[in-house]
Amino acid sequence: MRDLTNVLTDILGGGAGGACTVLHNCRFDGAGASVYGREAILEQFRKQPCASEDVHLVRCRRFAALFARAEGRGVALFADLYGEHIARLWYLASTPLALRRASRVDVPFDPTFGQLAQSVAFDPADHPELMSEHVPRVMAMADGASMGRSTRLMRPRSFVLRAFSHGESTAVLAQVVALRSDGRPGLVQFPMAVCLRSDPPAEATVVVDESECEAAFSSDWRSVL
Amino acid sequence: MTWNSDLQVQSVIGRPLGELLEGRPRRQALDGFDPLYSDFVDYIVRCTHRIWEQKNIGLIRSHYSADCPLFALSGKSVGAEAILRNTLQSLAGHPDRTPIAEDVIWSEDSPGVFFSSHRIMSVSAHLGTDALLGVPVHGGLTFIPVIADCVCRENQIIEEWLVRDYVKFARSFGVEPRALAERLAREDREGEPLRHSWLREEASRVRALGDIEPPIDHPAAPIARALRLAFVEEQFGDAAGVASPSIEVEWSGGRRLVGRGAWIGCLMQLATPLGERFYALDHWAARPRPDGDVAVALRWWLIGRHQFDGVWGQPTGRELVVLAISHYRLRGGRLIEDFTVIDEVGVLRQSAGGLGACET
Repeated sequence: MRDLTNVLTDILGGGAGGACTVLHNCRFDGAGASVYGREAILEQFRKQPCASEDVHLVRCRRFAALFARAEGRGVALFADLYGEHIARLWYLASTPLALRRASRVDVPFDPTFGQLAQSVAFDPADHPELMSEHVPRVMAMADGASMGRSTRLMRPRSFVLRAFSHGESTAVLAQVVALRSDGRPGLVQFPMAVCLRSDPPAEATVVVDESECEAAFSSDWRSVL
Repeated sequence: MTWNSDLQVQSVIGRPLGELLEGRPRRQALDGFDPLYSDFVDYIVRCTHRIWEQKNIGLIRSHYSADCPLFALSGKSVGAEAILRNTLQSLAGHPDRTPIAEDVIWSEDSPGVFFSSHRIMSVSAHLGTDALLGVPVHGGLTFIPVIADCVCRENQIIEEWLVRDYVKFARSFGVEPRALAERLAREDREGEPLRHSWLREEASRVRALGDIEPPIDHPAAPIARALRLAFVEEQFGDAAGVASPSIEVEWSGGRRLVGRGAWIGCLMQLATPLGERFYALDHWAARPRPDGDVAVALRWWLIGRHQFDGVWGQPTGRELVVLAISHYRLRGGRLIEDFTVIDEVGVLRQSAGGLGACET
């Protein structure tokens, strides 16, 4: 079995080949687009390789997250694992992939869910591979990271999709949903990855998918077919 | 059988294609099925692969009954020969169409009668003439969600309900769903109107279903209760209690959202335009997932009069029939993922007077 750090850096670098363990039905979300299937995912990175350095892997039995730097900026790759096989991938980066963003039907909804709602939607019971002592740092970081980006956003809320621990490290994947504050209608959403290596989280690595954020801001709000 | 028996029949989740397609001995009682198939999941995945990817389209004759009805809001087909013809036509337009199996949620509903809810990501390029789109204009690959609910007996599919995300399909090729629906509705209004009577008949069947619910100890029960709370009692907030605070929602038309509020938003977007709304649960199934979570499939319907503004535009007063198939992922009894596929081009087509929809 190959080392998972090498597998994930090979995917990012566009060099993943026949030995790569991305599944044929893997789902991929990244940098403003979605593709499905091993071939389409690997092809995307072959077209736009991302040479990574300073890599740091957080992994548990079912999940892995690779944090790295590429051209001086943070990137993150989250994976759902079944043994050595990768069934789902999220790629967060500031450079958009050369993929056509899928059009969508916009859904009017209330992300805040009333005045009593917290700014972070997170239930530790949904994250069995998160150590209980890491729960407060996940709450604090997801909250602070979304609030810190509020210049163009109103009422940001973080929804924690993945949170897991490995030793002292915690990896968090969250989706930020907010009202746009530029006078145009609509909600924007984009993913954010956080790596916390200690308490207090002074050494936190935060990667916000800037390309998804930009794509969200450049889209029109269309809730009627 | 119970939803968590026959654990030797493995899920497709987390397994590479080579492993799924390698030959293996029979490991489940399947009376009358081809010995090639080791279990019911293998039957669904392998026959789909043989027909669509290996282009052995004639296998439809041995895998569909001669009178098999296939219901979809794009039209009803009856019998293996009609299904074969439609498959050929589809492959003529999209010869590389690859149905990637994301999950097969199944049950044995009575001895020897199996049910499968097969979630597919249909990957293809438009290279030839397509019945809806005409000649190719846009290049590249498209990824279209599809769920097929099939009833199978003795190696044959004897009933099928199919939902395909035609909004995403149309937009992937630069066609506006409303324009496509209006064109189809114009064609529907020409010729013999009785050819659309199947949809009213299916709606009558659904209305006669009544308030069927899964047994209380079935994993589908809390979700079914939640949908009823939402669509019948308008208690959307209480309904959302079944969901994780950060549920991932992936609905047709590229709706990809997170959170209970988003889940409510999707339900409300469907419910709001419909007056005299009728909701029915049609089928449920569940299977254990290899990660310890539970996969649940529900087929459900909304029928109502298009009386209010909303996602389908200005009200037309016509009766609309909405067919939805949902695949859910439960962890600790709560929803963490909801994949729902609806053919909203079929809904817009009814709104525009197609498929025999009338204003009375």
